[in-house]
Amino acid sequence: MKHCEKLEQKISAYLDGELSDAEYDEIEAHLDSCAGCQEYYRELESAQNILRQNVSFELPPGVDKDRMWRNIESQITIPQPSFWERLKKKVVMPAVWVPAAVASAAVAMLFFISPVSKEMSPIQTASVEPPVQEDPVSVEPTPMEQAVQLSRIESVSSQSGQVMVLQTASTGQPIIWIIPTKEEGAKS
Amino acid sequence: MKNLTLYKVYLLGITLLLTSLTMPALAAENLQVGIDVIKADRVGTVDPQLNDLLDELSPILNFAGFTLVKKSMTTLSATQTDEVRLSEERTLKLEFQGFDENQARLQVMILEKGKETFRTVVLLVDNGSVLIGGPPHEGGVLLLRISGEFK
Repeated sequence: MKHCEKLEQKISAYLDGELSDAEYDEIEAHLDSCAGCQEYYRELESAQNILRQNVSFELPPGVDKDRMWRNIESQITIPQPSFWERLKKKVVMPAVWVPAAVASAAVAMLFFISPVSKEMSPIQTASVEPPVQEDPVSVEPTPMEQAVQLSRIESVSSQSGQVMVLQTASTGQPIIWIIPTKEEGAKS
Repeated sequence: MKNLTLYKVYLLGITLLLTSLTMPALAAENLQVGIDVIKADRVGTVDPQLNDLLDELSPILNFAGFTLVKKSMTTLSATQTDEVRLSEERTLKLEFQGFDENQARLQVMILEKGKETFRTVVLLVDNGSVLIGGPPHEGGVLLLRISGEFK
């Protein structure tokens, strides 16, 4: 029959007569009601009787019993978990890794949504031959435009001359430059 | 039970974070378009209002003078158009085609004597701008700075 493990020391002290009056009454009342602890008490008592029958232990005269026990207790070390064991215990805790996993997933989603993840293309210039460009020429975004959200040219068409698409180095501002034909230039 | 509550809190936080990224475009309905009509030439002076333009364009274009000819502003809702007179024969026509994620799609056309000579579609970020230049204008070159602000 299983006994109350939390009361093992107190039952042992009860057997040795080392409890205070209040604790003694408490344990005695518990033993009256707990069959498991009653059996445990009988086992302890039996072991103690065997020891008393076969072992005679008397301290030599002049030995300080209290000092002796203090020395014994000071040499008892309770093993502490290592740093890695404590870290592992904390990392494995769901309260830590689940939010971390969720946050990492959110950051990964932001990365793939952001234009930065798109493949960069070199700066391009679109040259449109006159006289008429029926279909507008689409312009690929430049690396600067993709790295930082900038205004950009989506398409361009010109009936009055060639067109160049440029970008300022400092701010990345797009520039459309129309190079008029000689006929157009003569009109000014 | 406690862990389930934590999961819900984190999921809600992430959802709000992702939603906030699209808030600027979702909240804006109109595009306020600013048009600076500028004459650029090689001998003139720089209008103080255009000093930033000189700094930006000098590495690319060889112009010494920038004169602000006209400055106008118009607010467009989706599919709305507007026109700005650039000169006697030249007109700028704008058509706001709506928001595309965090950018505003704006079609820009230049018409000369009522006939289309140039067309482009630009994607403007909030408070972003593009430059269109090159056509001859009163002894210099026409330069248009078109900016957009989400409203």
